[in-house]
Amino acid sequence: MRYPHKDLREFIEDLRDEGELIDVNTEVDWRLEIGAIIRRLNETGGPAPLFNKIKDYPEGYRVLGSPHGYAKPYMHARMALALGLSKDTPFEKLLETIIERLGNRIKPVNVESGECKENIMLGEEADVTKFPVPIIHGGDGGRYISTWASVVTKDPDTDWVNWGMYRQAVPLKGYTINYEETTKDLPPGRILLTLLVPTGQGGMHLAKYEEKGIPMPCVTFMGGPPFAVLSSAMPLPPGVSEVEVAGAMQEKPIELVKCETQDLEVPATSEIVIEGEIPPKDRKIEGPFGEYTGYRGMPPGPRPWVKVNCVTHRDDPILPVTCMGKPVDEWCMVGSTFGSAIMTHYLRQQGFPVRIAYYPPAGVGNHLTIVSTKVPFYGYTKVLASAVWSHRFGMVGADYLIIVDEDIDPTDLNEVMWAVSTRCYPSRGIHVESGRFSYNLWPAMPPADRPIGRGSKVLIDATWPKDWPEEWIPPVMSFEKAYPESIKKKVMERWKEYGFEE
Amino acid sequence: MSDDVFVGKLEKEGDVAYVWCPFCKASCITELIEKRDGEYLLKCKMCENEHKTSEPKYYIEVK
Repeated sequence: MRYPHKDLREFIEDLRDEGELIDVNTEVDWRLEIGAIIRRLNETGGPAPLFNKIKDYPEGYRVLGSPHGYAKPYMHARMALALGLSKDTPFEKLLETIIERLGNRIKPVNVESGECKENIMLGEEADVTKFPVPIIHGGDGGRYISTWASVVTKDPDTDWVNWGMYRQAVPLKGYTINYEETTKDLPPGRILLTLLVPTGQGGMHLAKYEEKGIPMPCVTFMGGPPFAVLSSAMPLPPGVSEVEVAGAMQEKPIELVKCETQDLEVPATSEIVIEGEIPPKDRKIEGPFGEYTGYRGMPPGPRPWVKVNCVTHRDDPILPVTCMGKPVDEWCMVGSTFGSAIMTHYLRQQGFPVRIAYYPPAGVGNHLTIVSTKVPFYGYTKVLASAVWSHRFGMVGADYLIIVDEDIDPTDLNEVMWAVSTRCYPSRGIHVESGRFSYNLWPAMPPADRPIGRGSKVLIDATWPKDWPEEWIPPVMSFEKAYPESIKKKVMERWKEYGFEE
Repeated sequence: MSDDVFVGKLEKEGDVAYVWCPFCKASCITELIEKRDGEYLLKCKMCENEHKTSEPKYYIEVK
């Protein structure tokens, strides 16, 4: 294994060696065909596809699909490989590894130059359509270039630099509303239509620049070490440096180089770097786009855009792409893996005796949270729910919060549903909270509430009541709990003798 | 509440807007193929079906 990975290419080599990547050498079309292939692989747990031959593009211009998607039989295999662990690492071990590394952030190092400077297109030469940017889903409002990428912005008043993952589209005639208006001053290759919501950290930065009436420097990079982009998708609180967390995750500093035209830095081994600025209070129509919730996201609307003034890239660049949609996609895996680790770490730091907090991929990575915990005192579950919803990742997600006793494995949804069905008495255990903030891409949210994110939450308390005497709680009838040790040992020793497989 | 925002307008051939598609039963990016005698021939970019209407049902985003 090549861990810690210097760049996306070393990670690709590891995926290939581990049977987690297939080279697609048949010519494929950037118009929907690439998207459809990735989507089907997401839904079947297939390998990551590396598209080596793309219609209308020269040899060497490639697309990598689903770099960290759902894998079979080990769901989190590509996350484990990025962490330098074997692909069959049990989920709770994966989580404990992440939590341990989170505590040891590593500052980046600056280098003079890097592979991302092998080709430089400045000013009018800059053109993002040089890359095989796909139309990912039927009905998308353009070619989406930034789906597995990091958008770098800086607070205008402090040193806080944010790396965030925000979708960005290249306008395409016949797909982008107001195309003629959108491209009247600049060609499509110099425009990135960008979804920056005000509650996101990039959106917070933009609000400050707009208040000052000045353009916001904005740089998007693709590729580099896997954690450079993965850290951008992690639900880290404002002010926490994603690049330091990326260093922590790979146990080695990220190497950064200066951009050509903006006072920002990017990983030296990035595949593609797009430099530009967002004009203040200027909007162009962006969207729609198939989203992580499994549905087409919010309709098109006026959103910020990046005026591209420089593009740099490696020779034979690789554009990483995720095809958002019905679970499981990359975001579901990131929320499930790193959201679970961050929430578990936070709750333990607050003194809650939790086994783990788990965001199942089926809950699209952030809307459903299951916490397995000891219950030390009466009323504890409501206190715990308040803590979950007070955390930033609980605020924008955890709309369904299920709390189970410590004997329940939250990663096993059969166990969780058993606990809900048998320990949660609806009139006692279900608590609905209205008027809470939720993320406005949540399809269940009434359209009129979306502009301000007026949501609601539910706590499903599936723990045994703390005020019940012990004798009211029935013993569990499972192989583990319902038989004496001597019988279990005998049965296991004779299992094959009975004629059963392991 | 600010003004409503129309997401696109179908005025000339090639224009796209976010309008109701009777096949998808959803608002979709839709292209105006032809406008003749007050009737619009539209093509949905999602299902690629063509449909005719005398009054496209535009999606309005309420801000």
